Amino acid sequence: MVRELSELLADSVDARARSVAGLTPDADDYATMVRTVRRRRVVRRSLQTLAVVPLVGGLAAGAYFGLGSLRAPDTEPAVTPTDYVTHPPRTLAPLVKGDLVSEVGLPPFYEAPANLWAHVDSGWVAMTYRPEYVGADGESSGTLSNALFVADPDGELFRVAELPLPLEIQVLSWEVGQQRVRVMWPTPIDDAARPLVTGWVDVRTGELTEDAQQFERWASYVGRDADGAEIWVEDPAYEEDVVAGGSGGATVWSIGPDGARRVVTDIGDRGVPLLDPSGTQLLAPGAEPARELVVVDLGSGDARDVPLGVSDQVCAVVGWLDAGGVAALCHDPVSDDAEAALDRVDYVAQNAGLYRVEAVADGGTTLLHAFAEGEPVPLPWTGVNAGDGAVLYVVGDGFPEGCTRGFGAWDGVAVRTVQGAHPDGANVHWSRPGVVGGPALAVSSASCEAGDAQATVATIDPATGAARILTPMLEPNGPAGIDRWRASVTSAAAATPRG
Amino acid sequence: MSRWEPMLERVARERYPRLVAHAMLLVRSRTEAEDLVQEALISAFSGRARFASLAEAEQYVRRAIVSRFMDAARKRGRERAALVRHASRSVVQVADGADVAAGGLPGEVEAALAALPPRERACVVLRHVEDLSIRDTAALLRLSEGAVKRYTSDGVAALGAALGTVVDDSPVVTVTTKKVTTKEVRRGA
Repeated sequence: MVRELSELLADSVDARARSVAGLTPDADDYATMVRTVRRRRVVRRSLQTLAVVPLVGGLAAGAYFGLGSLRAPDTEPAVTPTDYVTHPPRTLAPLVKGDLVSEVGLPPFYEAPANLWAHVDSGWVAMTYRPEYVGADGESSGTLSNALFVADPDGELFRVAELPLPLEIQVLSWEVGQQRVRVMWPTPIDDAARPLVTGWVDVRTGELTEDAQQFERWASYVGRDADGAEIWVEDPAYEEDVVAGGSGGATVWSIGPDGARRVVTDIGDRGVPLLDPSGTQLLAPGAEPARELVVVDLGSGDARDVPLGVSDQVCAVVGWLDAGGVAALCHDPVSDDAEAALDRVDYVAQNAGLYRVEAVADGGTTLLHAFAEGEPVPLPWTGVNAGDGAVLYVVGDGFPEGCTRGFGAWDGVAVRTVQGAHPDGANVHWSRPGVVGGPALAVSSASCEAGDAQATVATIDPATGAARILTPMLEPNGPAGIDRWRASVTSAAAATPRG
Repeated sequence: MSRWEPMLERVARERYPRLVAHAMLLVRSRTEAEDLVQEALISAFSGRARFASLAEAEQYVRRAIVSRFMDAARKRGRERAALVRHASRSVVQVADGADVAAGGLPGEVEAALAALPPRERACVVLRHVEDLSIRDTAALLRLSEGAVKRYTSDGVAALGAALGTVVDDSPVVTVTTKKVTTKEVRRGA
């Protein structure tokens, strides 16, 4: 019997659909889809204006999307007074480590010895490690543990606590001598009342404490300003449809050490800003991001527009060089055809150059480096200030979805390649400043997709470019019953000097 | 909840089986098909498109399924190896359950498609399932129109040999819709 191809294919699809009737994605897969869409929409929205928001906290799967406002301040402070342990004495008893522990899903580690906290200083790193696996059947999945580790500068790991398994806790900041690490965690996807919780984790017990005041919608942690206040930003851009355009502005909040909260300013619908090295200014894309910057004075809240760009090219900020200037990537405009194809084809910058932009003055530009064809270029908004006019940044193939390729740096004199943070290719998912003059942190994996593979956390020395991996990759296939790991390190923060 | 989420939820709840069925024209296991569908859903809802209806969203995701399938094939950079693997699976793979048993019309058609190289498979699906024009197929798969004609022709011929199918060679007709957009209705390579 002769059958018409299209009709046969349609009949086949109908029959197959009937055979799998009632099938739906499992809850974990659906939650992953929603989180991934949220993250990509942030990137895409920024790309629309040629300014890609930093992927800081990328593995947090939404740490930087937001909408709405803070609850009205309660009478009691949101942040309880800081509780410090005794500052490390000059002479310390040696750190007595027990046996190296091996647990399924975790890298080799030591249990925290009693005098661990006396040794912790700048350069140590706190991290959450939450191994998720895909079962041998390829469909089942699970989470084995939720460890809070600290790593010394040599990369030795100490488990200090086990956190509640269901919570995707992200460490945000950590001060030397403090008993608590600042954290946030997303609430379940279907919990519309409160999308995230901010709080603290006691590094000795793992006990979580929620802030008295919470954000009602997503907010992103930016950093600490010169006065020690936390800077957060609410970003309604996340929730808004790209085509329809945003309907509100991102609000910058300051939360003082005493818990006092104030609105710094509304910076418009512009993603997560970058804090300058002096901790006094924020940098955000302007209304026309490829042509304009906004610099916000954190003290007064005043926002100032600064022209960005060079003739016939579009630009995007890479990161702060110093408290007066930023590095920007400028390149030929994206053609209409290329833009139309962005759903399928990543865009690679053409005729790209790295410029210094006098962000605090008149926006004057100085060409620092002209990139040769095929030379890795910085991804916008990924720069980490490395002191002395230097910036460390993530390089990549193109955006929005091209794989990243590790780090590059402008060292104040020249562009140079930095050793990758991952031995298999360094797909850097996010980077974060370490301490001033100290290492930056990078989380990377062999997968282009954050949240779909195990990752490593490494410190990158901006001075030498050397990388030290703190959490080695696990055996890819895992033990019996486990097909592969799809998550491991979920956040990291370096200990900073006591403010 | 943002505006895109209710639509994503509806597509995932109401159209998932049909999307998986479409994906199984391209890959041979239900697990792979579900992975592909989920990637396509992420791609579709991460992008610029807005969907006025469930049907519109489903159509977009179906095309994204093919696009993501081709992207994956390119990224692997070993289409021939993939072909061998998929072809091998088509012979020896144990089904993911009784609902995807190798027998019956779907099993027969999917096995025949699995024997095609990925580009031929993608072209045949877009041309003969999604009713895309040669130009639209070329744009979606980032191929030249000539390549689309060639891959489709080769794929159709192979399927004809395997399944005994023919294609309707009726002339191309231009249809004008209410939105005054045109769609080329095609038959044949």
